[in-house]
Amino acid sequence: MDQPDVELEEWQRQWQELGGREDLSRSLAERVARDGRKARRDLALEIVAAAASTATCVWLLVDSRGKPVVAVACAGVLVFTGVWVTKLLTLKHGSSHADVSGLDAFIALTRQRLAEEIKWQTFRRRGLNVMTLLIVPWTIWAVWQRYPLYQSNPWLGVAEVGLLLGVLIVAFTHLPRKLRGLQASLRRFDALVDDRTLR
Amino acid sequence: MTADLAEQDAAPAQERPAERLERLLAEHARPLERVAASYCRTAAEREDLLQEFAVALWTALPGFRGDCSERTFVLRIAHNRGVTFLTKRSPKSEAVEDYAESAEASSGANPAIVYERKEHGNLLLAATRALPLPHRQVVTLLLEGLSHHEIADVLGVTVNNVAVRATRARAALRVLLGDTEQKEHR
Repeated sequence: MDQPDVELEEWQRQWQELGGREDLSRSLAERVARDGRKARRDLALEIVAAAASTATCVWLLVDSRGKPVVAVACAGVLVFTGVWVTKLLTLKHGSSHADVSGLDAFIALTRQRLAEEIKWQTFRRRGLNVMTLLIVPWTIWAVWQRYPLYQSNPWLGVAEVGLLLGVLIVAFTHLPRKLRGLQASLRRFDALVDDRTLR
Repeated sequence: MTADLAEQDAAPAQERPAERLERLLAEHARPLERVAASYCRTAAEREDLLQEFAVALWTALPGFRGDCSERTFVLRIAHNRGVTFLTKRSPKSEAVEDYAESAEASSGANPAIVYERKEHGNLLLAATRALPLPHRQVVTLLLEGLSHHEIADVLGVTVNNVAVRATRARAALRVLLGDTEQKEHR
């Protein structure tokens, strides 16, 4: 018969005295319900946005009867939307499987999820660069065309060009920061799990 | 293990997902609180992590096919989330952790534990937190009363690996607790 492990039993007694906050389970269940509603709303919004952008592109293509400029712009938006939806489905699939797995599978899935996120952010960053290369000459051309209108109504010019510049500045500030954050997360994760005793 | 499977068999068969989540949270709230405490020092971080546990549990429940006990399932999710949580933590928090672990490695005594003790923290919890992650995971599961087989199931490692880690972790814990108690009495 095995000897009782007195030391471990004493530690277990001390350990199991910890915790026991009242109402914790109920408050957690409530928060999950709230988070669940928010997640469903966010997902619905993303799907609606993808559907709306696709429908708008189709309408523009039909309405313009395939004008080259419109076709190129719509192709860009459709590729972006396609990658976005793929990323959304991949991440949802990965995250729903990660938690139920053992440590090895969890590590692999988390790495994959972070790598997918990094790829997606890199794609957005490159897409932004390409869009900027297209938008800047187009903006100069558009300002040139609308110059008489802006002369008579300067605030319109400030608002239109300012809005475009604002969007670009926010995008150029936000995307690299997000990418750096994800890369740092991946590095921290690798450092955390890159321990031979972990597996 | 047999007891766990019997417990799982006793779980109501036709529960709605929300009811099942509430039951699991009610049954395992204390162990979850302790797992969260083993990963985080501050109350705010624990709150965040507990919420992540609950959301992850909710997301993972439809995929649970009963191939292990509910306790194993819940603790596996909690530890997986704990690892992700450490990954997301700010570098500042990591530095505290590194300091604690390097202090332990160099002298055996851990000033971080003495500090936490003075702040009315639990000595065993503080010592557990000072262990390296792979040892910490095994120790917290041992302290929850899981067998080596169940721990292997939670962490997805072999039973031999669990046994080796458990021996090393317990030795480190003994040193940490002994040294800290001596230091406090001085």
